Amino acid sequence: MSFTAVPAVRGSERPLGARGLLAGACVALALAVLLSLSVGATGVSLAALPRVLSALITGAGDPATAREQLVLLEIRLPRLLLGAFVGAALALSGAMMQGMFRNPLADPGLIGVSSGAVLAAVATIAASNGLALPLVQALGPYLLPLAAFGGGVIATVVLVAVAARHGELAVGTLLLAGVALAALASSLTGLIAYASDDRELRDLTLWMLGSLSGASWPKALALAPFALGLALAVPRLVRGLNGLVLGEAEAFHLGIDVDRMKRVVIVATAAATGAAVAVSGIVGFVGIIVPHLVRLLAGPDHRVVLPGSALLGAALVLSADVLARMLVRPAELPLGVVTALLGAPLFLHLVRRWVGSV
Amino acid sequence: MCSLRLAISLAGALVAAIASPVPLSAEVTVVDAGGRSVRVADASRILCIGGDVTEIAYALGAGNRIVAVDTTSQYPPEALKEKLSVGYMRALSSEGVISVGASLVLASERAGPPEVVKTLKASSVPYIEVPDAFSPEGLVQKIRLIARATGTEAEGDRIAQDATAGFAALAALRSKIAHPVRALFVLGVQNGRILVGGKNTSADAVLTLAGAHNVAAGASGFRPVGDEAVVEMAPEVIVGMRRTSDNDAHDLSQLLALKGVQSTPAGAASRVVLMDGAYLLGFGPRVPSAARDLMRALYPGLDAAGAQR
Amino acid sequence: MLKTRDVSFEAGGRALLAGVDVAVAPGQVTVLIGPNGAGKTTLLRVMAGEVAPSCGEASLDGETLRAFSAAELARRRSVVPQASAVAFPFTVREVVMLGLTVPGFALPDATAHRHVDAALDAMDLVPLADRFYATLSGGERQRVHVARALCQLAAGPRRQGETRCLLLDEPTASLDLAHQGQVLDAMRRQADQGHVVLAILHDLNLAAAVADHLVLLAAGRVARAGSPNEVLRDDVLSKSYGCRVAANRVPENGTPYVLPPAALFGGDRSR
Repeated sequence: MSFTAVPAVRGSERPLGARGLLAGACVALALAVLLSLSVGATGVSLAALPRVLSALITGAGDPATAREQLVLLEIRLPRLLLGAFVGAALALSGAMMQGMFRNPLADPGLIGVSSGAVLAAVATIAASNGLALPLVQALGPYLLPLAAFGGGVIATVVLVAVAARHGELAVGTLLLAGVALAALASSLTGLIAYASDDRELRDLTLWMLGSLSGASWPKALALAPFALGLALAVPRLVRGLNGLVLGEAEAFHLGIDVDRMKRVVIVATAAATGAAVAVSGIVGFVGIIVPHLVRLLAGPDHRVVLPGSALLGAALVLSADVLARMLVRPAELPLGVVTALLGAPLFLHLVRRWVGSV
Repeated sequence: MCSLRLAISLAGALVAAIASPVPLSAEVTVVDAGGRSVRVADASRILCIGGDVTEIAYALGAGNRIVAVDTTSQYPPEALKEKLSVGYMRALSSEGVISVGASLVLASERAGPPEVVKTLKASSVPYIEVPDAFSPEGLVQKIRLIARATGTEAEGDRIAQDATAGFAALAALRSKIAHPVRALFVLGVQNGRILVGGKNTSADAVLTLAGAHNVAAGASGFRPVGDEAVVEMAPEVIVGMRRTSDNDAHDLSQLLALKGVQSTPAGAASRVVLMDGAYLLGFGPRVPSAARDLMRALYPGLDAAGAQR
Repeated sequence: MLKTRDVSFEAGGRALLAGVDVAVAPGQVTVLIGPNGAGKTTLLRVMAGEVAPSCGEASLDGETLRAFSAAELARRRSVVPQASAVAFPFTVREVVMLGLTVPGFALPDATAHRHVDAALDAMDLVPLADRFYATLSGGERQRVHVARALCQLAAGPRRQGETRCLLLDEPTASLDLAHQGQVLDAMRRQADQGHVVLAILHDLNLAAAVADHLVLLAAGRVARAGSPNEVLRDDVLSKSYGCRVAANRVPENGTPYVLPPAALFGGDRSR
């Protein structure tokens, strides 16, 4: 059974080439970054940045500049960094998963990261007045992200342990084990939700809809090693994922150490998705759709799909976040809702336009 | 409680004594629920977060100075109609709140998310945390804190005294109750299960003030319970929220349609008391009268005659 | 020289190969023939280094295949699989270019395109180069894989004294006559360059036409190995294939040919 969407008949009919897409994605990201920094409910614009920076250096400043500094440097900038990471990480995870499972419908949740993160977050929220109270007091706003990340990692470790046989990870087994594990995590989550009271349930629901409103510098700095790790590990996967397109046996014939590559993919995906979910809750849609969009526009070569997904994913999340912050200001919409509302019609339009007969 | 009042008074006096000859009526220092000392120079543009906080601010006469509220500020009705809304109080947006341009933020302890609260506390606008307490003492504390922060202490004293008197009257009436009626508070129906008010809720506090025995006190918070649990709790009366102002019949029938409810003494006798949600649960200055009304509904003969019928 | 020494391979309790000794010399075309289930594909996989034998060893130029890393092997041998799916919408040119994803192949763009163009040309794929792989027929897809393997082989960095190998598993299965001829020609050219060429062919006549050396595998063992004339004989074939077979010789040049048993023994169809 093949899920390849065949957009028309000739490669030259692809809308964009590799360079075109990467250039376009860079432009899109640059615009999104600019938008993120200059647009906000308070109306503080980038024109205030020089003022703010000089006040920062000289130490002098009036209350108006202090307010601008707070908005630009303490609220918008960390939010921008977090949003860019979340978008890039989720899109990359999606691209890697799709490459490893050789299926454009694979998403990072397949290896249990999201379910584990949700379970841990739900348990933390539910226990925040009881068992977890001392932890809440000690770690404050960092308890939930840490728990979510830990939960994601533990779920993946369990999955790999279950699915590995003689040190080998068969993709089919991973998939089945992942489905089972996700079902288990989901039912435990349901159990906890059932036992929760109204306020906890509301907190839970809000967390699961995703949001960048909890952005802060400590979180942004905590993400730096993940960003670095991804930037180092992902380019090395390009050859391997390209070779894997022909199947595992063929990938071996092309000289690729398939097992090692699968391990790298799983670790990278677990770390990237775990970290993203930890700081922003569940932002769905990005992992599945962005890589698919890139393939539709510029072809499935991973030399384009991996960097292209990262850039476009970041641009998408940042743009969605601007909308989330501005549409109902001074209140805010959940991010996960906006990314889907923004991305799905766009994708549907592209599918209609560029997909001919299947 | 007394020591807090003392501390606040002393701090205020100290500031007044030390500061410059510029009129100080506008500047006060307040110790909020988190123990922070907050200086309030300008209380002319207030942001209220929390239904009880808004209600108290209006009652103190500071309503015209409020620029924005959150979505839980259901009373008075003009709050949400006339003022800007910053959204749900546990899903605030840092820049959104700052953009409102308030000179004073009065926020319930329950406001969130924690990072946003942290950022707001770090901004130059005074952020005062109002305690989330469901007790007579707690209410008075809230009133006095908000009164002090908004410079309406005279009014605050008056309202606080009214509340205290109201609570005292309730206590006196309660002492006449021989057998507390078994009551269950139902917040709503969710997937065929009812959401009941356990302990640590304003519903529990109001039921207790009204002299009832909260049969759901074994649970904590508002939580869903299944049919069997409802039957086991065996309430004699169910207290519910009136959703729309004129549709009591509909709300009643919805509640009584549930199997679990039907098997309770309350269901069998169709003994359901519906009251306005914000009135009953808000735990603002109207609490004593809300509890009084509830008591009247639960113990019809108590008020006039003196002894329970 | 690519060879196996006393190789056995067991899977699921069954012995797929037993005591197989095969030596494939460079510079000639070696063809593996035999009935279904004889173990041909398994043997090819062992010789490609894809699976390790249960006993015995496979070696390339005297070094056991186990000692090679996947990347080192890929630099010196390429494999044309029996069937292969391509997971995403790649074009024909891009699939052939996948032959260059071997780690360690760092080619400037111009060289890479040169290799790809040569491979496309050899397999008559130039008119199809821009088409999506998924829109091709079975035979066309097979040619793409042969082109990819040729591209991989051509692009590997060369070192003195190293033998290169081209392994093919039923490369002509879905091809029409003309394109079958093309693949066989490509195999001949690779052999002429001094490479090892080992192909599994089910069609005995094609095997007779192209092979310099034939290995007949039956029930996991080598039934006969040698020149086509030595192997394609009535007694040898009938025993291995389990049915009456007659092998004849083309009068002009003595090349053996085998007709299907039904044609020889199935009654008069000369009407």
